[in-house]
Amino acid sequence: MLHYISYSIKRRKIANLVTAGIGVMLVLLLNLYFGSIRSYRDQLADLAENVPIYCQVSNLSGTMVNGLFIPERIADALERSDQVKDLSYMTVLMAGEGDFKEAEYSKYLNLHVVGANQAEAVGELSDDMISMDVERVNDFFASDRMECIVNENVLKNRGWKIGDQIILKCYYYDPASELNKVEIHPMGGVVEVTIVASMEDISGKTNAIRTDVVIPAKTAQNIFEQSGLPFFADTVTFHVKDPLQLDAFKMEMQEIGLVEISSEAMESYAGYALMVRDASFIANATDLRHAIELMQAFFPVVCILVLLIGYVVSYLSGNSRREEFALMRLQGAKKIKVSLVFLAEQMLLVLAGNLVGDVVIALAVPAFTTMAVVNVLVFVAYLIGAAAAYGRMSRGSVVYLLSAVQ
Amino acid sequence: MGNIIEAEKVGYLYQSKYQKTRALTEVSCSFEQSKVYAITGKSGSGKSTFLSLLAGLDVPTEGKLYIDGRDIREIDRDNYRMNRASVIYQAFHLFPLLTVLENVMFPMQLQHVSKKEAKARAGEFLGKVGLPETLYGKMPNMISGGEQQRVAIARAMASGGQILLADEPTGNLDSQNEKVIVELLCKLAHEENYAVIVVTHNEKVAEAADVVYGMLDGVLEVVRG
Repeated sequence: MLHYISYSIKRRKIANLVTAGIGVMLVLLLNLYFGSIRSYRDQLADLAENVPIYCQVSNLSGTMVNGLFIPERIADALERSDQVKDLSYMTVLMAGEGDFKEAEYSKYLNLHVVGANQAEAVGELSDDMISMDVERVNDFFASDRMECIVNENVLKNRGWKIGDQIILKCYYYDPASELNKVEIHPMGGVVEVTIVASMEDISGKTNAIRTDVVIPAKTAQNIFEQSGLPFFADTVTFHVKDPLQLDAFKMEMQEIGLVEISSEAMESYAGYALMVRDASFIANATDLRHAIELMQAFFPVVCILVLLIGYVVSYLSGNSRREEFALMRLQGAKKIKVSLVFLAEQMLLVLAGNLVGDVVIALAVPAFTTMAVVNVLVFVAYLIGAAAAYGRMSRGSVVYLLSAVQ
Repeated sequence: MGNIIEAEKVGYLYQSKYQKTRALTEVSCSFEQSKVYAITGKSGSGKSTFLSLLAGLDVPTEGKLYIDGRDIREIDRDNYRMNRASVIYQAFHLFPLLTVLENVMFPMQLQHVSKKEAKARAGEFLGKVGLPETLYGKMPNMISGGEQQRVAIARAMASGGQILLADEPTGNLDSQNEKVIVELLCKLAHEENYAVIVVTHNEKVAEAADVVYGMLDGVLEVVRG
């Protein structure tokens, strides 16, 4: 009977082209369907990169995100956390040059010293504004060396040069200060730091604080430690490492000691709350998840649709070939054998159409897993539909089929 | 010579959802090889129904029909049509996608005869029915009705069975072609030992038959024995 399939495929050109064309169309449409789901999934996976969740440590009432007293244990816990990335923190000290007497602090205390773990932690500062290459800048901020970067204006005014060692007497902001009455106290003793680079003057920029001298955050922490004082960060910001695990992240933040902002909380400088800017991410993620769920909900419909197309196309094709069906039966071919001949022919044409569709898809969007899924789906669903159609046709008697043709 | 087909009080009842129609009533007869049988009668008398039973396309609802001594209900009727009996119709019913030669090769290929041998034998059968070789590669719709019916007879011969059942084989033919087909059927019976059973309205076909049965309202009678 295979010879009959080859004759039929050669001689029913238009009908065969239509059937193969349906195969092409099914592959293209289903690739479009699965491609959309894949695209939404990719967007969801990339959402963390494209719409990062930005977090700031704030006071309990959420009114301030800098100028705070954020305990060292919180900064350290955040640094160790697997849920956090791009952690950026800084602390602010006041200093005067030389070992001046405390009574003369109003005359000498005129340098704003910032301890930061990266350039971006210092307001509007960035790596390219520092007179060192990027690798050395990164190395500087990661170190705990007694080194500093000095504002170019300060450098000029004081006649300092890169490589100079300067003596600073530091004062810290008292965390026990009352609201709007911040007190500063000497840390005791002096520190000696080497100027390793200069930086552009950032004063006057929108989010900048006055910065005369920048030291590594670890160096600042060591200065606090050597003075026997607890370290407090002024500002802490970071990104959520895996925004799709937001619940786990929030739970860990609570364990670290960062609570949710409460509008009823007292105003203070204590940095114990976390401001999570996740609204945009959640809105985008929710939209994408809904879109994926909606598309996936249509999967059974898509399967039934392919099955129905297989049924209808095969039924119409079979209906126009009842005479051939009846004649084969008349010649003594078994029902099942005749049905299989028609089914095999139909599936060969659909497969040929699928292959053409695959080539088109491979040239446009080479997503081979999707292509494989689509081919299996089309083949199985179409096969079921076509088998049902030919099964139905085979139930008719030969006499009836021939008389219907006549 | 023994009977190859025997009908014993064969009856047939068409049953639909709404009604029952009796098509055959207690038909008893027998058919031998090497003879031409004609079954005549008006339209709706049951001739074609009887022929369908003889072809194994259906089974009697009453009585017994024996093929080579075996009840038709007990034999593989598909196998019977493939190897023992062939049917030709007024409308020729050739495979529209196959050429003349391929149509005749079809029953042999169904019997797993090699393509080469089937081709050679198909040529022989087409020669026997007098079809010129130039037509072998033509599609059925490109040849005349008489030629198509000759192809149908050649295809029937190709199955190798010795029973040829014909339902109004000359119904669509002109008198010249009618004569050719009748002669062919007689030749098959008398020279090739076929049992040829022809259902017909045509008196000339009936005249050429060795035995003539008449069918009236499902009842079969011997008109000429």
